[in-house]
Amino acid sequence: MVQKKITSNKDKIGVIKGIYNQALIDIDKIKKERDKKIRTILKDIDNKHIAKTRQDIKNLK
Amino acid sequence: MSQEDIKESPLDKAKRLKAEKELKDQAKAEDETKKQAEVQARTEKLGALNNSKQDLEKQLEEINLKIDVSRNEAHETRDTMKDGGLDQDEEFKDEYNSTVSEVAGNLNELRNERNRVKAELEQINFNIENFDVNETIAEGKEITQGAVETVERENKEAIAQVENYPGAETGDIKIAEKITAETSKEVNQAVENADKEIKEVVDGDVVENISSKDEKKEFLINVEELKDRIQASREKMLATGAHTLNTEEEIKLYSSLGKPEELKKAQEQAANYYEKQLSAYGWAGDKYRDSGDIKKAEEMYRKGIVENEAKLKMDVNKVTFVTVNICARTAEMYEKLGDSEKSREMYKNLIETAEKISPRDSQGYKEVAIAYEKLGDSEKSKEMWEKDASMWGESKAHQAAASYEKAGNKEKAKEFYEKAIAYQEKREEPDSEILAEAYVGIGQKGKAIEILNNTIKKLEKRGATNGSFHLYEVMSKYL
Repeated sequence: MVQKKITSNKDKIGVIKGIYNQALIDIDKIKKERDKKIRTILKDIDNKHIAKTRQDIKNLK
Repeated sequence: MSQEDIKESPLDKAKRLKAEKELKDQAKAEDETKKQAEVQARTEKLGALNNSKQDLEKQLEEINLKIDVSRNEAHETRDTMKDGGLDQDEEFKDEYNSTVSEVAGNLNELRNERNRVKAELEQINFNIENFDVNETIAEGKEITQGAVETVERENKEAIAQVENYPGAETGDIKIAEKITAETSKEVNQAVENADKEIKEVVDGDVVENISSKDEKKEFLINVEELKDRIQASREKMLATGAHTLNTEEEIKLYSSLGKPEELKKAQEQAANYYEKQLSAYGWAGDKYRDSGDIKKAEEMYRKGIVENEAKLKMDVNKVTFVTVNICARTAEMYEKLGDSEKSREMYKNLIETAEKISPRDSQGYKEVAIAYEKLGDSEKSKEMWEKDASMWGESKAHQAAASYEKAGNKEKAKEFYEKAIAYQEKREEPDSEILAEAYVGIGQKGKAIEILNNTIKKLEKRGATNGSFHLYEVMSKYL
């Protein structure tokens, strides 16, 4: 593959902007994954609560 | 009369347009002022750098002059003393040496000062030359720092949300804390990687591909290397975060690493959770069975059957998909207890139940297809798998393909795997797992592994241990 070193400041600025944009995209993805996991926790809490309520009703019977 | 019917008068229109234009002009002027302020700030910064440069150049000139004077003085001092023979006379030798040292010391001090100014000047020149690059870096740093701060703030909010959620227990809060800690770690890693890459760009170590589009590097699969990486990922997960995995993944991890004690403990914990927390006796039975507690497993299956059959009797007039599912789970439990007669009876019951309802989603067809399969009617089973396949939409084309595969319809399966690939590839963020499954479905296992490998590398770069571990496990299925 033909390659050349990035030496001009104009090219460097373009590459640097690209790197920061990628970092922001990565951060956004990480945030989305965190939000998804937190939603799962809340859902699990609900499920446990439902299971417990069911158990309590059964015990009452 | 509705509002749309009220016609705007020409005067009102003129007033509205005038107001709109004024707003637009104001925004434009503000934008221009902001831009001017930015240009001004940059000019001032650059001006300050140039002033510093001039100061340093002046300093350097003065020091050079001082050095010349000092050097001449030193030579003159030395020569004067030598002319007088002081360097040879025992009585004056010490004086001679100390005087020469003193002038040499003075000269060295000036030379050191000159080196310091030169270094500073070099740095200033570099900063002037790279002014725009440095400004871009400073701007990028500020933006990413803002993003990191937002993540940290949101992390705290997420923990508070779990803490304040009704029914949340200490364990849930701890998991939320772990998740947010991992998020912070990944975000910091992303920023660190960006800084590292930028340093390479600034230092001129980065190369760009001139014809990367035409000369795409071929991905070569090294199975042994991939297996080693999968093993390393498992060991890393064991050492750092097995507890952050879901129950099934944790069990699989211990099993693949040959950790019998941890495996048994995890299976028992899962069985206990399914039994006590979820009353899911079928799952609990499976886990007790896997951990070797057959007696407890059978007890769970029997308990599950009793409970399910009671539900079926209760819901006799209210037949839904849930009823079909209850039949399926009960038949499975009879099967696991070795009661094939009762199991078959329950599968027949399932088919009859499903006929009473018109399937509105694929779940019904899938259970009926399995029931026919268990009863030995493969033709009917295939028919049901075909029906199941027809229920999935474009985004789930891979599931339709899998059902066509079960129906033995290879042509349709291929067609739908290709649809799944087309759908995923046009998405901004394709699901690597689905893409890999679809490529394997059309016989391109190498491509599937390449896709997984690329995503894993991205995740590893971000420090996303759980994400990469999950995809390594998917990859291990295809090796």
